[in-house]
Amino acid sequence: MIDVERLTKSYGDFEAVRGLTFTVAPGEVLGLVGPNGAGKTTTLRSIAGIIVPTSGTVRVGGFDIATSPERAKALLAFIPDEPQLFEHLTVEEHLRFIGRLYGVADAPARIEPLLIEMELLEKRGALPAALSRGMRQKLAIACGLLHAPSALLLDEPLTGLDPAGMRRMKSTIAARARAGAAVVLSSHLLHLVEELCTRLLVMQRGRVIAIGTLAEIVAERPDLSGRALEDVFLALIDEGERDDSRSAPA
Amino acid sequence: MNDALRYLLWHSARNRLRGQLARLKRPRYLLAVLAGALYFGTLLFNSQMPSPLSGSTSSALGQLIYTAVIFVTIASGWVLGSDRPALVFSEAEVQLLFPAPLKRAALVRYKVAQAQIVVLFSVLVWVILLRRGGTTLPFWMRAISLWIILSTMYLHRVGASLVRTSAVSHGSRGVRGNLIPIVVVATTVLIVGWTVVRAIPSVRAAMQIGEGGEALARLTTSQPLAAILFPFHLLVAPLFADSSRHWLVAILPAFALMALHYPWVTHTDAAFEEAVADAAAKRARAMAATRNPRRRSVAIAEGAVPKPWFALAPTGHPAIAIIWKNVLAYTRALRLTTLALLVCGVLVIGTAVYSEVGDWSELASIGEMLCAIPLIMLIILGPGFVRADLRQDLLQLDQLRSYPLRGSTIVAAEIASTAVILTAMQYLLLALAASLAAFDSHAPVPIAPAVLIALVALPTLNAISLTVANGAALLFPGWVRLGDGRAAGIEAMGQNVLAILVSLIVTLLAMFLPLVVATLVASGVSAAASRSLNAWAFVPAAPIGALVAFGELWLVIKWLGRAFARTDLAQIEPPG
Repeated sequence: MIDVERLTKSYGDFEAVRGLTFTVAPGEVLGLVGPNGAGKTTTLRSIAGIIVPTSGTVRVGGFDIATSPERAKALLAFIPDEPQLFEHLTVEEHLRFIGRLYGVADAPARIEPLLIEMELLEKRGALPAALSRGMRQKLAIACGLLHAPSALLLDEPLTGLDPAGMRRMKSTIAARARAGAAVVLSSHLLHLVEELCTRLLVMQRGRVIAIGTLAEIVAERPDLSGRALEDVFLALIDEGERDDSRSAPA
Repeated sequence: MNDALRYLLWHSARNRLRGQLARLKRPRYLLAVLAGALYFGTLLFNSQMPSPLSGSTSSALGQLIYTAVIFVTIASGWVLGSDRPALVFSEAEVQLLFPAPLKRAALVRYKVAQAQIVVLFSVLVWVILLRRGGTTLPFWMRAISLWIILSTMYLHRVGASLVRTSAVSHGSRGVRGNLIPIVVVATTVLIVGWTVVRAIPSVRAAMQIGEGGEALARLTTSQPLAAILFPFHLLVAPLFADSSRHWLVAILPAFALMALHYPWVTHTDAAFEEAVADAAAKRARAMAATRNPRRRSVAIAEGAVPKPWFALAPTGHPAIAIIWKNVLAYTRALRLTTLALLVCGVLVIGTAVYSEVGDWSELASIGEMLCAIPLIMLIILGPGFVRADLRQDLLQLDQLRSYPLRGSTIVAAEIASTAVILTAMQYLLLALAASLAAFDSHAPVPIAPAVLIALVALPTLNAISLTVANGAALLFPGWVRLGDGRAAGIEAMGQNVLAILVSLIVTLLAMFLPLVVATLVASGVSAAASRSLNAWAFVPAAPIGALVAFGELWLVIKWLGRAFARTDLAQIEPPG
């Protein structure tokens, strides 16, 4: 469903993402992990067609995001960690607006169940300013889910949610994956990644330092066998740092 | 000023300037700066080249206009101004300076000093634009005169907003504490309003025999207006001095007037922190969205949510959804109290004039004028002030780009949003003016063809000027203020005038071909009918000219659509 091939994004001399290649199949949840500045958000935004890659290709459902952006974007939803809402549209109006943008003919019928799922039914007439941080996040998620996307890009999806909201969000992500959506999820919460993701992609300084299931990653590093994901992650990052300092010019 | 605040001021200004200079490494910005420098440099140093605004200050009438504009600006600041303080603090300033052991007056002084950067830029712009304002004064004398005018107006605006804030935050205690300025301003506005309304018939009669200027001058030199306008006259007098000696005599009272404002502003004990902090948080969220798309949020809005003007059907062209969203956002953000005050003002003026004149035709004629003035202002200034388009939505660029729409479709829908709003307002004024013209036995233009032409020309003109404005936001996001953070206040007038002027020049260039085609068609129609060229000949020509204009716009919007896909978020808000 999502094919990323040799994706590179540069800002002047700085390469935020370097030759990234991976695929995400329908029903799969890929966890994007890495330290701050690793290039996770740049990767997600490149897949979503928000920023133009310097080189490489991104395909969603077989449509190239560069040459058929409208068809590719119609299949995906990008949910950023901070909700991007229009301050003068109410909760329900946001969903009606998104429904029209994505051509969801039965949007009115979908809105209410979605509001119930996100616990926003009572707030359907409220402006974003009247919502708490978590509610705004839920509304952004509802906007992303309204058109039943085949590919779901989530950047720190649990930010701002209360424990109950986190649990509900996790079950929503899992349900969407079971329904056949390809999910890419970026998070610093390693327990979330461990719980939800079928595969991991560890990034550092814009490049891939490990990809696969946790078992596959550990299989390549027997010294990490039996250790928690957090330890594996820190060891990989530490190793990546050492590689970088060795390859840096003196 | 406190040493730390002085340090902050200096280093922030220096770093900001560096950032702006660094932007000139981009060819697009460099070319724009070179073109602007060439134009304004020629304007400044070539005495033969006409200045777009020169002439407006060449007479006693000009002085009168300046005095009136300053009075109206200051009075509207008191009557229609926001209840938020005019002092604008960034989120960082709120977080770092408000908890710091600084006196409130020190914060006000810091902001006043910071505003001087904008004031000085405005002075430069105005001195260039008004360089041949009928005065022989050297450059630096005109600059000082303008600096005093703009600084005084800024200080007064801040002072007025602090008084309003104090009144709002302290309730009746705040009103009592600021009773003297409130009573003085209210009385002044009422006296001036009543005197002007009563004088409208006689001034109109004088205008019909070509003595309008003299009638206005007589009005302002008679009591009580002369007394009320005296301080305003003092303020503008140096700019109109006809010799260096007169300038020296005039500059001292003007300077004293400005100096008197300073202690008033810095010692007004208004607890502005909360209102300022709210505004800063709102602005910071919007700005954070531009710098770092991962830090998006929404602005604070309160109160009941009005219903949409029209329902959005779930199916249909998706671009309509963007227009629907923007129109809804604009109408919800309107300050209904301001509109209500304006409508009440017009009704009061109409009633007062009718009681003086007792003639419907005369009243209709005045009504037409009252419709024509805002209509013309909407045509010229509307695209700068109604911004329900990319100038708002670029702050949500990530969101827009994730939609399954072509870049050009989004750009067109954004431009159409403001065009719809502006055209609706203009049509309303046009309909009012045309209805009143039915009662006016001396209508200045043939109404039917004028209305038919305007029905086509207004949306076309709006589309052109809004394409220019949105194109500027897309191509020069580092220069165009986005969101609600538009430069406000008289001190920022220089940069606003500059933006309007540049926009007008580009709009006029874009209109050249459509106008030529329309004129040729109208000439052809006249020749075919063997009649002289008149307004009716332009009725069939206007749609053809509009078609040419929309053809041009189609090409430009296609190009802007590509720019939309490549706009660099980092350019939107300058660093520092």
